[in-house]
Amino acid sequence: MNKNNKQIINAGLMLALFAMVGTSVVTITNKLSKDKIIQNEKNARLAKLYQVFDKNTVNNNFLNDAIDLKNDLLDSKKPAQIYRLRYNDIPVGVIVESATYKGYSGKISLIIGIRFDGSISGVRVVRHQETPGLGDKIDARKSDWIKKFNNKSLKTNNTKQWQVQKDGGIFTQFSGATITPRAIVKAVKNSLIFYEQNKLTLY
Amino acid sequence: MNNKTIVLNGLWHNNGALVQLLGLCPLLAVSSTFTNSLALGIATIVTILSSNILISSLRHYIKPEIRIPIFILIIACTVTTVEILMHSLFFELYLLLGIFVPLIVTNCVIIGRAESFASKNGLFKSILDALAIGIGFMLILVLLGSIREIIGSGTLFAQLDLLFGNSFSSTGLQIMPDKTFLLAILPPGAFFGLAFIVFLKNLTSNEN
Repeated sequence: MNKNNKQIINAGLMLALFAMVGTSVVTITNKLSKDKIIQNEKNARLAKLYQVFDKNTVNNNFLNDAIDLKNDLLDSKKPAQIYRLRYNDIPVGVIVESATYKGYSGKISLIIGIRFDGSISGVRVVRHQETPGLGDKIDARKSDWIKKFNNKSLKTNNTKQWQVQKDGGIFTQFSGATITPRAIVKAVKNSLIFYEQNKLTLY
Repeated sequence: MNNKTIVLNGLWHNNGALVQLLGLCPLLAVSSTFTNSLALGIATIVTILSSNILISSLRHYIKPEIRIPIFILIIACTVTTVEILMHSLFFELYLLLGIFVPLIVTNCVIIGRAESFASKNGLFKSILDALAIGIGFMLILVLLGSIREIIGSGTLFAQLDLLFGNSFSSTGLQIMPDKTFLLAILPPGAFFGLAFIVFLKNLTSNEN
């Protein structure tokens, strides 16, 4: 073997050694943090879902009591996840992970809490790409608009009222942004319609 | 190069963001608020510090022909480790910064320092250089983030609780009520903001 070949092999071995040590460090860190990350993700999901439903009225492990359902009233493109909430095995409501594509820019993901009687316990926008400063007021961190849905139902307000004020309904729009609130109002209304239609088979 | 020159170069004369104009991808993308900027700044400092320390201490063993792949390996491993640790220790912040933590790998400031400094200098000087360059980069990031947040959202220090716990408010200080200039938090605002800071820097430097 000449000197040149030996150098090439040495370089290759060195590279392999560095790759091995590096990968080991990453693997060990990953192993040590994995449980904490899973726990974090679970807590974050629970904290997110409890924003739309009163924590004290639920005592089942609803993260494991969920169904996937494809329905145009919820998410027209993907199956929506529905968590079934119970207190001592008695159904108290559902949390629906819905989505609308009628916003100003792309998909808006929503979580909607519906009590057993069909009234809204809370709505939150979990992901959106609406214009900052205009459409993003649907985010609970930016304004209280989304809380206007609380306690509303198809009984307290008729279909005509389930619209933005510009279309003759009761929900305010934002100056310069009507499309976004219109999409959200429609999505929440649809989820209520879905709930009424499927109430008997959901739990 | 003496220690004072290293520090001054990193912080000002050869600032990674203002003079070398490196690492603009994270700089422009994340600097929409003070909190995001500070968080990414700290993550960058941790990465550049670890990479400079590793590369400087291993510099006699690294064959010059394969130094670049080894630098990249070291930086990639450091960034991944930082990312995993952030995911487990600062979960909400990790969600906020999203894709930009792994993208620190593409920050050319880091490999730039590895190649032009850490591979040629001793451990102490490399640490000093990493700190100077890292802090210099973070200061510009934070400055740009503050300007954009004040002009674009009207607040400052919003969501600082994600970084330092609940003793800090999540709404931040309201500096400009209602009268906000939307463009500042959109991508063009980042370019204009950085251009403005570079312009100010060039005004003060005597060479030109």
